[in-house]
Amino acid sequence: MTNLTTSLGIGLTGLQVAQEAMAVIGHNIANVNTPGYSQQSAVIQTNPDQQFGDVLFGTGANVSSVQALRNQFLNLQLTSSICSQSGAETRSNGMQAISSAFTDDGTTGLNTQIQNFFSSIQTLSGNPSDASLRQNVVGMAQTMITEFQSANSTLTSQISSLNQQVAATVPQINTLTSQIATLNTQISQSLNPTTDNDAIDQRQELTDQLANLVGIQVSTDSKNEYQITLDTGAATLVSGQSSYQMTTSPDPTQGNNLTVSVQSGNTSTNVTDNINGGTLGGAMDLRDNVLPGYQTQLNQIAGSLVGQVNQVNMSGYSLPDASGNSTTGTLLFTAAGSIDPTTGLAVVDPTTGKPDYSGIINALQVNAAVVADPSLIAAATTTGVAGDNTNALKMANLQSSLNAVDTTDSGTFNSGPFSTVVSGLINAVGTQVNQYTTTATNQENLTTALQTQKASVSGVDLDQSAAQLLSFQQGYQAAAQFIATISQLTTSLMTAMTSTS
Amino acid sequence: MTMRVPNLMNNAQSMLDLQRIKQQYSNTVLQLTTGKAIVNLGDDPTSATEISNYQSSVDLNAQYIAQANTASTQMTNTSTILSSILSDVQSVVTQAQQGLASTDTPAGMTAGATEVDSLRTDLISLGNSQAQGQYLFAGTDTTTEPFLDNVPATGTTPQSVTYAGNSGLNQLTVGTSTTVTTNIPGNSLFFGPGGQGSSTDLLAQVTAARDALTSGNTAALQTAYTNLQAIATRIDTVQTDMGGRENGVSVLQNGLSDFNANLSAQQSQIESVDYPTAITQLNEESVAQQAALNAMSMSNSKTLFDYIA
Repeated sequence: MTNLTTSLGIGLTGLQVAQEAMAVIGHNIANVNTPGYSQQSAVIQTNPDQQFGDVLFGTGANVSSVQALRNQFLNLQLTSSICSQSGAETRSNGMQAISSAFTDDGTTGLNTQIQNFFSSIQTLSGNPSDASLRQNVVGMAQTMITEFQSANSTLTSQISSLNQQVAATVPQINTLTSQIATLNTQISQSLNPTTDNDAIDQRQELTDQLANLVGIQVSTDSKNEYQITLDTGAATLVSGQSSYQMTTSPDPTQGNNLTVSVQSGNTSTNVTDNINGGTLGGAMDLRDNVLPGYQTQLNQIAGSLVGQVNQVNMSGYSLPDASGNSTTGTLLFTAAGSIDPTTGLAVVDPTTGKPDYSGIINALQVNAAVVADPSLIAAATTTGVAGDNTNALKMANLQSSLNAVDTTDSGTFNSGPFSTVVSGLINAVGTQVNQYTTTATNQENLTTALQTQKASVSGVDLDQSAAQLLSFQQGYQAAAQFIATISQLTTSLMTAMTSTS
Repeated sequence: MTMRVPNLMNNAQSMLDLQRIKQQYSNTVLQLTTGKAIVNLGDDPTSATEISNYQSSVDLNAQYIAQANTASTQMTNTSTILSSILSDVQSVVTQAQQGLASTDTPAGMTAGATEVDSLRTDLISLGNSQAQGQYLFAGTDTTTEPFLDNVPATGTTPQSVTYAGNSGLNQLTVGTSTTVTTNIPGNSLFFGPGGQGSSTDLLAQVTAARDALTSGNTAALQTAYTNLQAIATRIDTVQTDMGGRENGVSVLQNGLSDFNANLSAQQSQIESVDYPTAITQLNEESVAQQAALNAMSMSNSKTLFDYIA
């Protein structure tokens, strides 16, 4: 049979349950703005009954555990979405940064400057003996070169910036993987690996941060430890309680761009081409594939243009000097090591036997001899004839040639005119910006939707917390009142017993 | 089923929406301040490429228009000189005609000879005309004086000239695969199809007329007179041909200008912002931004805690 002391114990469990539940609510409220925090709730259960005779009596309640509201499937989906969003945003931002270099508005831009150069030659054909028109051709040629070099330099500096981003990202990845491995250890060694809620939340938050930096795949093992590999599966970054460090090293064959490897014991796996998502994947894709592709096209256009202009200039004759003598075979453009002075064309790679346009823009300049003496511009096809403009016309007509640019590095000018090829390049850049921006926006939508779902499951709701607080406050007050009542009964009993004796 | 709506969730979605509204607002402001519909290449790559293509076509046509202007100027200069040459030739013909008239006296013929000699000098001077530093009738050897009068050392009247130019034609490109010849080589104009010293040689026939007037040789004067009449007709034809070429270039200029205006208008339709639409859009975005801010402010202003005493 129960007694007053038992009742006091029951009242005490009520106080304890309310107090512990309010502590959980307080923890929730304190973490209302903590990133990655999952709302927790006290799991309350009744204490085992006590049997007195044939009757079972309750013995109060206790908090059996504290559980977090969490959907692991949603968390993994979100991690994957963050990888894709981050990769697309890096690509989109990188492309937007270089797109202005390809904008053509009629006063600046590659097409405009190429047209201006040919226009100056066309104008020269109207009066080939006019020194100021020859000077104008030199000026326009230099401006055109500046435009090529400006676009190329924008790409080069963006590649360099992306390389720095790679260098800065890798240490952050290493810090995160190390922290995740430490949390794996803590979680797996806790009494109940599934309810070490704050550590689990913290690990998930760090995993999401890691996903922002590098494309990953996440799985959970039987000890509730995270196993993290690169999104292509090329290497493991975290395996249970171990993390594997990423390292970088400059690659001399790729302009000292950093290659990225994952170290596992004495084995080093080069993963430079095996990361799709995250900042790192996006940055290396732009750095190694997308932007160099545009540089190749720019060099092909510049190399084809100056090569053909050189050939026409070399075949013609300069303005005759005072003695009536003309010069022939003069290059209009030079590029040390990149333009063959004997042919005027891009140097031929001795290994492949094909033209190598790769370094032309960097080294390109108007032939110093022509800058010093613009009369060397070969407007004539006949020696000693000042008013002969036929070679200038031939040079100017290059702008309309349908075989203007060697787009295959084969030595055959297979595509044209220049304006169409440049427009194609502008379109390719614009389309790629558009594509990456659209992908980034879509991924952002998906990530936000998943975050919304996650918040719906795991977020702290202050209204709910307030209602629960009221409920447990009242429970606490009731339990306290119950204890006071039992205490009063005990006191009455003691008083009665004292007066009887 | 009721969905839980924790506070963080409201903020994340609302912030994303607000940022997008602000981004769109900023884009519209850029459109209005630049006057361009496409402010970022990635906004509409197809239109950006079209703009570039239009611009290339406009620039190329502008080159052709400029070349047509140059050609027109050169041909106008040549035409002007041709008129003067024709006028001089007709004056020589008139002098020869007067010399052949039975009423002309020896004194009149001598005066005629002096006049013709003066016209001969004038014709050589016209043959050496320059524009913008170029000799008009030197072929492509435009920096060399084409006609040199061979003055005899003895002080007698000069009999012949030397042509120092060449037979080159100056051509300018005034359209795709369209060229126009802007000059007439001096040897072709002055010596004619028969060449120097022949009956079609203007200067030789003027010299012959002068000498015939000086000596009173009517038979020689008659021959020169007949030849000069034919030469006048030929020069008139050349002038007409030059006028035709000028006219052709003028038509081409007008055509190119109209075409360029059309191309520019089409380019502008894609490139230029539609101000009424953009301003309306800006207003809408401004309202949307205000609404989003108000909604965020209202949705986050109260919780149950505010009502618990």
